[in-house]
Amino acid sequence: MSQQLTEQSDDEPVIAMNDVTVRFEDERFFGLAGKDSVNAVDGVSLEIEQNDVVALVGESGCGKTTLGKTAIGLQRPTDGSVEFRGQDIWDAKERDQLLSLSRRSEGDIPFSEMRKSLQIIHQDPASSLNANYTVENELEQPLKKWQSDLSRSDRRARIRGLLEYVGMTPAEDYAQRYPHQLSGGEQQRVALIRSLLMNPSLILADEAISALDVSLRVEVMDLMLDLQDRFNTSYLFISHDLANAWYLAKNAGGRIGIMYLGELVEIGSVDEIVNNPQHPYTKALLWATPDISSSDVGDPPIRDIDIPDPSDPPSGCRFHTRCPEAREVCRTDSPPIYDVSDNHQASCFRTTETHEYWNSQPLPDEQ
Amino acid sequence: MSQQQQRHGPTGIDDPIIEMRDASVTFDMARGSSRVLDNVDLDIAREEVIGIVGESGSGKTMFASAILDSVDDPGYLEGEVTYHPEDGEPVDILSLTHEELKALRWKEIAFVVQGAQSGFNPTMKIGDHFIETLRTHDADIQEGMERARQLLEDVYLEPKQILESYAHQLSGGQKQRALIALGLILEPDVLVMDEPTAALDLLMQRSIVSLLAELKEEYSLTIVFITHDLALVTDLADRIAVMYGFDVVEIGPSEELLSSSGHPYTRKLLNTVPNIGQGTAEMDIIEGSAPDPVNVPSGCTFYPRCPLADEQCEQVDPPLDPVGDDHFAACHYPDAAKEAIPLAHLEADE
Repeated sequence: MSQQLTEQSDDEPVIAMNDVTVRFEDERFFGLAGKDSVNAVDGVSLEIEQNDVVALVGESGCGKTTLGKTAIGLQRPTDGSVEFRGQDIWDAKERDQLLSLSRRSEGDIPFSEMRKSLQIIHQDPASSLNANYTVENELEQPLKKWQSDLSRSDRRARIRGLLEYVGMTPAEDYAQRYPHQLSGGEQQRVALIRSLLMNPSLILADEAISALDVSLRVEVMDLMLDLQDRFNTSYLFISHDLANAWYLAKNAGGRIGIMYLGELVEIGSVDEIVNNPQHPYTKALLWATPDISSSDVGDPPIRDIDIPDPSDPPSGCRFHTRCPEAREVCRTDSPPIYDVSDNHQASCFRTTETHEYWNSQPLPDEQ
Repeated sequence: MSQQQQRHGPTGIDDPIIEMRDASVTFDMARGSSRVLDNVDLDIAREEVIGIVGESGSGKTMFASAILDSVDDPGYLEGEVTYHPEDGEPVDILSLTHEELKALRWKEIAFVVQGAQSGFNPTMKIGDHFIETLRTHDADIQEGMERARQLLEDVYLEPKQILESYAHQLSGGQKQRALIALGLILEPDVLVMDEPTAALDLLMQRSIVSLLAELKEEYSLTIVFITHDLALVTDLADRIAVMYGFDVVEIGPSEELLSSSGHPYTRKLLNTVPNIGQGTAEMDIIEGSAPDPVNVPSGCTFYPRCPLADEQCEQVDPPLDPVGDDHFAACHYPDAAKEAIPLAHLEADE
């Protein structure tokens, strides 16, 4: 049944987020003194196809984790919609919670099926693994739940096979270990296998390699790429590090998205983002990404090195307070998303040659 | 001893501000004694920026602690650490009393830790930290606070606002910059920074690196920048020392070290860093794991993971031998290493 569904809806993207906003509210004195609200994600649209890789990059507080969680149905958007293969996730959840399966019509994907198809791996693998489970116990759980027809020995054989596949040999030995007996890289591999055992359509990898030593990061990314091929899954890879995002997306033929204060300010193919960046913020991030083959730091290509308070974002273009190219119009008008080329969009007036920006006065240096 | 001195040499340094000889740090543990710094010889030149690069468990933080004899109990430090003030007699750091060390710290050698850690007392305003530090060292408060305001401006902070704030009111990047300003308040000659930017976003990291380059010029500082991130420090550092298995395995001028590293570990490490400037995206990996401090391999500490290792590597610990101008590597086969492990970032340039 589910197999059939997947095939039917192959044309639809795995996930489509349409104009998604996530607002967090913090009530002061139980709401009596008003509310502070932050739009962690503000009007973002993004589609992730089958076997696609999108790497989201941005500074802390830019909303990339919130957007990621929204994409896999862990965070309900305040506005906008999230569709899994063309079907609204939150409608499906409500429908299925009412327990009246009769409400589900032919072709509707059950919410539980969506949940299973959308997986996450975290930054800290140790905290996502049960400390009292051996590797084998840990990995048996998803198989018991989702492939209950497998016999015990089949399950074990499958787990051993996967452990060997990710280089954790002898698998017999690793299967009996507890998380604290594994290195960080090994823990992350177990977490990765566990999520893949659900045969997911999309895995959210939230800073999944940031806690690893430099020399291990590439190894784990290579494994992710390898497994992506084998399991035909998509990744939404979240990182504050453009170099890692570049490595993963480049090798998967994917895209890089740049977020700033809740907005997706630029997205495009890896080559477009690296060789033809349009948004001054993307350029600043490229400057900030150390490159062992260049030799000069130079001054930061930004006017202010601190990020503004996300609960009170600047008017107009949110980057104008730091942007070296900002002009008067950037202070008042918020730039829409412009098409730069087929596979490249950016939210900056400078991408259109005829915009009034070019006649606008540069902003004075003093804020 | 004298022979060894000569062999390791002052690694090409004429006027060292800090000399470290045979420095070892040992912890006695239930399963044996754990050596987390292993006979390190290193000179730091006056007014240089030296990057100390290593992965976790390489001994780089112990190296920082050893500079000011601040290894936590029950660890103990052996060897020699000598500080050469600009004028005056050399100071044998390991023979100083607790009080004398305290006086040396801040005034001569200042430490900047990761801001995310306990840099500031949460119940005190940032300004009070400056005042307290000045008072502890019997410095003129008014004059000192003038300097504090200047230093805060140097690190792109608004002095009035920052001095009146508590640590929790500042962002990570602001805190880290305030800590740098605080480190410089007593006009030290040496600034030792242990992962000063690790918890920060890249844009802030890189901005701080650019800032340090300016501060170094303005205040004639010697900077010891300890980090796991080789790429981050290359622009700033005059020299880079790579640590592996609790000792320095390679040291040399930054550009030279990047373009013709002699140690297989350095070469492999360089190849594991994704490099956007590079056209192809082929990366290397380093098989195996870093040595256990209780059970350090005999011979070369890297041999179990090294593609070139042979019997000699297994038995004889290679000394830091010259492989270029002011450039030293602790490897028996530096030429073979260059041959066997091409550097990805150079290939791409061609």
